[in-house]
This record gives sequence, C-alpha cells and structure tokens, in this order.
Amino acid sequence: MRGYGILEGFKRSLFMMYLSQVYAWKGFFVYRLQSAIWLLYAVSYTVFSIATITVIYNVSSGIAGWSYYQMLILASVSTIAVSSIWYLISPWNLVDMMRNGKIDMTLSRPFGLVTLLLSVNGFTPQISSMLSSVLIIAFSLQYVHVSLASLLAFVALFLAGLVAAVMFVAFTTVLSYMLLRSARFANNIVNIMGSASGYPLSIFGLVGSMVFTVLLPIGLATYYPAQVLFSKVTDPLAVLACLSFSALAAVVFYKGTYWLFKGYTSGGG
Amino acid sequence: MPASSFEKYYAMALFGLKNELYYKMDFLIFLVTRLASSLIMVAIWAAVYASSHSATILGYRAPEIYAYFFLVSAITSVGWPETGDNMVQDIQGGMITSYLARPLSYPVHLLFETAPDLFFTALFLSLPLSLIAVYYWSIPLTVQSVLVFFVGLCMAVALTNAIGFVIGILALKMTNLYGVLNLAFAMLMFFGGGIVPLNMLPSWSAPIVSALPFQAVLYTPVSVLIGTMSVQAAVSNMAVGLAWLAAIFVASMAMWKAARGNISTAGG
Repeated sequence: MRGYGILEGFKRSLFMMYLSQVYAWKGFFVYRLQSAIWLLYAVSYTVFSIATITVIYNVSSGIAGWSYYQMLILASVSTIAVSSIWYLISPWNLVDMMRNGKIDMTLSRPFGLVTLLLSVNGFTPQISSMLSSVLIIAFSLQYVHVSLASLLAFVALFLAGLVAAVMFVAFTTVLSYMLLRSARFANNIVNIMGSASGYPLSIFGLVGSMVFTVLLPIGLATYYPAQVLFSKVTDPLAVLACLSFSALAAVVFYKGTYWLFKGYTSGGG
Repeated sequence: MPASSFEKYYAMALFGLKNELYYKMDFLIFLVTRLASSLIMVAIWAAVYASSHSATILGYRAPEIYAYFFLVSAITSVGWPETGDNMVQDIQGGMITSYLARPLSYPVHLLFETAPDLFFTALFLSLPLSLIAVYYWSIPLTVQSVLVFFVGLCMAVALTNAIGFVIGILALKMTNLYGVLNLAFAMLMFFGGGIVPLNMLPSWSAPIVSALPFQAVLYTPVSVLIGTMSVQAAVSNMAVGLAWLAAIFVASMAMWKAARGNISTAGG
C-alpha cells in the first residue's frame, strides 16, 4: 500500500504542477504586447546559437568529428534543456520570493517542497525557445542518420539528465540564497551551463568535461545523450552508466534541496 | 548654506555606490562568470582552429579571435542599460514621484546613480579582461587603437543607457519592461559583433549592420585594438554610432518632457 501512496502523491504533485501552469499562462497573457516581446526575446537564444554554428561552419571546417547538422541538433538540445530549467525554476524569482517572504504562504500548501518550488516561479516565455529548437532538430534530422534504438536511448538519457540538471539548479538556488541572500550565483551558473553545453564537452578537455558532468551536470542532458543519438557511443553499459549517474545526481540534489531548506528563515511577509 | 547642484548629485552617486557595495560577493561572482564565459568562447574557437587547415580564418589568427571575445566581454560588461533598469524600478515602485518632487533633474539623477556602478564595473571587470586579452595574447598596441577602444567603451555606455532611458519611459505605459531591456541587449550582442565578428556574417547583412549603431560600440573598437581594422575605417563607423547617439538622446529628452507631466503611480 506504500507504493500506492507514493503513486497518489505523485499524481497530486503533477496536478499541482498542471494547475500552476494554467495560472502562470493566464497571468502571462494578460499583457499581450509584453508577452509577445518576451516570447521574441526567448527565441533569440535559439537564433544566437544557430547563427554562431552556421557562421563557424561557413568560414571553417567546424569542430572535428561533428558535422554541421549534428552541431545544430546538439545546440538545439542544449537550448531545450536550459530553457526547460528556466521554465521550471527562475533563480531570480525564487530568491526574490524567499527574501520578501512571499514563499511562506506557498510552503504552507500540502505538497512536497520541490513540487512547490518548481510550480511557483518559472519563466514561462522560455517555451518559445524550446519550440523553436524542436523545429531545428526536426529539420536537422533529415540530414543525420539516426536509428530508432539510439533515438529511444537519447530520449531516456535526455529526460534523466534534465531531471538531474533541474534538481541541481533548485539546490544551487537555495544554496545561493542561504549563503549570499542573492540569486546572482545560481543565475550565472545556469548561464555558464547554457554557454558551454551547446558544444561538445570534449573541446573543454578532461577537466572541463568533468566540470560539466559532475559539478555542473548539464552534460548529462545534452552532450552524452547526443553522443548516443549519433551512435558515437553504442555500448549499452555506457548508456546504463550514464542513466544511473543521472538518477543518482537527481536524488542527491533533491535530498540536498530539502536539507538546505531546513535552515530557511523567512525574509519578510 | 544650501548645497550646490553638484553636491546633491554627488550625494546620489555615493548612495548608488554604497548600494553596489552591499553585495560584494555578487560582484566577484559576476567577474568570475564573465571570465568563464570568455574562456568558453576561447575553447570553442580553439577547437575550430585545431580542425582548420589554415592558421587564419577570415584574417583572424587564433590569438586575435581569443582576444576579440575577451575584449567584447570587457565592453558588454558595462553595456547593460542600467538607467533603463533603475528607471523601470523607480516607476513601478512609485519612487519616481518622490524623485520628481525633489529639486533635482531626474535624468541627471539617474546618471549619477548609475555612474558609480559603471565605473566600478569598468575598473574591476572591463580593465582586467582587456589587460588579459592584450598581454596574454601579445596584442600590439598603439596610442590611436587604445584611444579608439576607450572611446568605443564610453560610447557603448552612453548608447545603451540612452536606449535604456527611452525604454524606461515606456514603463509609464507597460508593466514589465525587462523583456524589452533584454531584447535591446540581445540586439547589441548580435548586431554589434558580440556573438561572432561581423565580417564573418553573410554579405547580405552588411548594409543592415552598417546602418545600426551597435557595430560602432562593440565590433569596431575591438577590431581596431586587435589590429584587424584601420583607425580610419573605425572613425567612419563610429561617426554612424555618434549620429545615432545624438538622435536617441534628443528623442529621449523630447519623450521625457512629454511624459513627465503625465506621470501617475500606484506605489510609493
């Protein structure tokens, strides 16, 4: 019966997330001109990464071992991953809510801490950069041979890595508030992850690769899934190891967020 | 004895400086992350040059491209439209009514409030990034190139804050302008050569890029400093930027004069 309780709790959390999205989108579209500008700005992420890669491959032979269309897909996967993080958890908004005590009322609701943190302060316009990146991926897949098995493995790795990355950002945001009473640290960490993850981690050397795998785990949602997608890594054990590491990272940061929050004191109200 | 105008604005500047110094760690984090972002661009282009069959790409040697992105980061560190940011907060928080009741010019007050932050950032962020670029990659300097770079840096500050002021005036009509501010900064980055050097863009974009002011404050001064553009060409490009700056300044003053009398706020 414990499993049934966990399932019920998960369903309730999903419903809470769904309701929060409904209200977030309704609030976002109240001011239509502003929402259009924000959606346009969010698309600029996709435009910048595509423009950079296109220029690099127009003026040079690009990055060794990666074709133009493979790079477009990697950059778009990175944009989707980072945009998903921003969509679910905005460090600036969350720290602001913690500083002025607005989060206190949210925390009194009968849902888990992480469910509440992810449901109240995301950056909704990021949906446009996600959707534009999906279009780029769909376009690029015409020029890249991908097997069904690698595609399924890619999806599994991407989702596991994304959960780990989101939990990491939640943990870092709360840590940023606890230590510095500011969101700048967490915000800039996400920006760095976004800048680096659109390119193969191998270009940053062994140390850089480790940084973006273990310390800033965005590689789990971008580079490693892309390697599997393009059959650069085919060993099932390697895929399983990556999945396991993503799951472990997600659990560690999930628990870490709860542990950090025990020391939370309201900033106001 | 009543304080002179300068003493009043100086007090504002000191207040702005103290505000910035409250969160010292924030500044250090900003410095580290700017450095990290620049190093990421260096790593990307190092990989491009490593797989290239030529030592130069469109006239850029590898050290010049690395220095390019460090210098771009140095200028864009002070390129955020702070005046627009502050103005939006003042209008939406209702504090603008109290500022307008004081014997101070609000635009001048904004300038003095923003200046310490810009000076601090230029001294502790832009200067180190520029020195790293120049000395680590042995960029030969001339008096003219340094002067053009410095003028470009000042124009970047003036242009982005003038645009920020215009955007700030829109806060009287719109509730959330951070999207507009971010979009303005994104345009600076893209059309100013902050993403890739402008001569790497396709030829059809050249007339658009030349007509806009952004290349004058970013791509041009950086290119002159690293030696990929002549001073004469730079002066011609920067004249376009100056013309834009003058036009935006005149327009912003006219807009402020028209808007000032219609300000009503819900906060304060």
